[in-house]
Amino acid sequence: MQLLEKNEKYEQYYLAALPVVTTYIFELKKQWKKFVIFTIMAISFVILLSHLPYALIPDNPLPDTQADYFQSGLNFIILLTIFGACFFFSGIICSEYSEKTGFITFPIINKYKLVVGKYLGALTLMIGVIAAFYIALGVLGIYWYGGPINYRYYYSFGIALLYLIAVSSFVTFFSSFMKSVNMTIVTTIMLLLIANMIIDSLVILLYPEFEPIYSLNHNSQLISYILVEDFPTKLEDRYEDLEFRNFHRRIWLTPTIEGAITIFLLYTVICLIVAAIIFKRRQL
Amino acid sequence: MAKLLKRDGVKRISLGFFILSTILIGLCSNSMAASTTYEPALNKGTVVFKVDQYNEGKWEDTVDRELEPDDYFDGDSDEIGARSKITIKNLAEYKWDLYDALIFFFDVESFIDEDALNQTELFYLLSFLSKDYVDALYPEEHKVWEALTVQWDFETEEFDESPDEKNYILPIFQEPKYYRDLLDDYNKWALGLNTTMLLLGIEPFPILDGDDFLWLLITSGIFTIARPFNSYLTTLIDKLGSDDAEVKGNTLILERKGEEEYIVEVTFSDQGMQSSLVIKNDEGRVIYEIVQDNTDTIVLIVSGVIAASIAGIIIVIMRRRKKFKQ
Repeated sequence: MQLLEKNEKYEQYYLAALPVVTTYIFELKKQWKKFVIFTIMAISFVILLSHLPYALIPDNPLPDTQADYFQSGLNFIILLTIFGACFFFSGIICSEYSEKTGFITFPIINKYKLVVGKYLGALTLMIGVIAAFYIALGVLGIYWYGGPINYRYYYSFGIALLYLIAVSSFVTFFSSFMKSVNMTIVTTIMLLLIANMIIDSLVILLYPEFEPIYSLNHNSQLISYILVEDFPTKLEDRYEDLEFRNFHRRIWLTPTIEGAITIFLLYTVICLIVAAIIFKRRQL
Repeated sequence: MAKLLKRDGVKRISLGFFILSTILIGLCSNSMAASTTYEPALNKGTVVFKVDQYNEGKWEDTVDRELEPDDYFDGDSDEIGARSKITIKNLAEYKWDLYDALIFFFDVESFIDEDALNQTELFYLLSFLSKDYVDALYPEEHKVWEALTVQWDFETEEFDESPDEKNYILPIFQEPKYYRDLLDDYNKWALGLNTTMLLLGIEPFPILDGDDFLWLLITSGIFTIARPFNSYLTTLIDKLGSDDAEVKGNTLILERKGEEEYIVEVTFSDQGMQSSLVIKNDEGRVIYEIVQDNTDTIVLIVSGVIAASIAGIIIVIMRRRKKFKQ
């Protein structure tokens, strides 16, 4: 009797998870071309920016250590994550409305399960792209400096994934109320790349003492800065003051590890909850 | 008329012969020049060295009773398994004069025992070591390819993250004869200063012959040569007048006398760096050996082959599936 009950429970779980798994696999199949393009782009940029300048120009010096090399090579990861997230996640919710596919899918599948499956599928592919970038850079790190790979490189990968989840949640939030996929892509790219930078600069200019902990842009600096051997623990080591003709400017080098992780998680949770609420109320 | 034509013919033949010989001589001189033109083989990247063999007893009996390998090669080089690492950051053309050689090759600063001198004596002595003084007396400059590197000393444990020495310079002289010029200038400079050193009651700078200089180069860890290696080494020992040195392929063999006679064999890698150093006694038994450690390269190649094989297998399976579906 107990065995039957257990089997029934498992069957219920299986039936509940089946739409998510089906959508997940469908999303993987649907977006694989985008994945291939982004992976090729990621590897090409690693080779173009972190290999060829050293291989082709004899005068151009290699950084001193493997960690320094990784730090200089990781500058492009922010752009790749933002563009990738915008292209992979922009259509997660709004495409069901703009392309009217919701009329077919929503009556059959629970709409939350559909979105969860799509989100996880896109996230898996983007993790693949980021992993390809890190693997390519790691292989070049071994090529130039020998093994093993500096252990902080794995921390950097972990923080890059948290950043990816935060950015993807931000894009999903915009996808929940925007009308078309293209609009979502343009808006989120503008916000994450340009608006974010402008706001950060204004805040730093107006309130130089205030650390822009709210900013995804500022927190993303931890991805490369975690590779620094003596990670700053004191506040005064985390910024540099510049003065030019009585003009005072503060440059924030890195957030704290705990601070950045908390902000990434906050962005993820808040954006996904708000997206879910908007999605629930949105009519076809 | 016939005579005139004959004369013309002779003239033409002579002219042709002259032009041909001029071209041939030109070609010959070009090829001669080409054979003595050296080029650097050093590339950016990291090289790891490992102490492979060390027989302490034999070292004391044969090489030196007082000094150990770590006095020559630094770090933990007196421990089997200790590894050192050097990362070549870039390669650029510069010019070296005697002052650069005094600092980097002859390491003259380490000779001066500062505790044995008072302030005035030290100041006086250091004035002979100043760049201005040395450059004024020995202004000759020699073309060199200079590799900027960072270096980790021999360690038995894992390498520290930060290198032991930043901005460590490996010079490759564009002509082997420059070593001779620098050695001559050094000996002149040392002779000029040694009287002062003796007056001050400190040990004078050693006067070196070609063999001593070769040994100094080998133990300095910065001895790097240009391509073609065999020709470079042969010219070098010829110019230095080293009687106890010979060249076999890319290997320099030097006979030395310590406690007893011993042989030093230095092999140069395809980049012109010292890839192995073997010290043997006269019976041919290895006393000490440093070799290049290629474990990382092998791991990288094996990983590459495995990754390529996996990718290949996946592609084949996908193609078969497609065919099967069709």
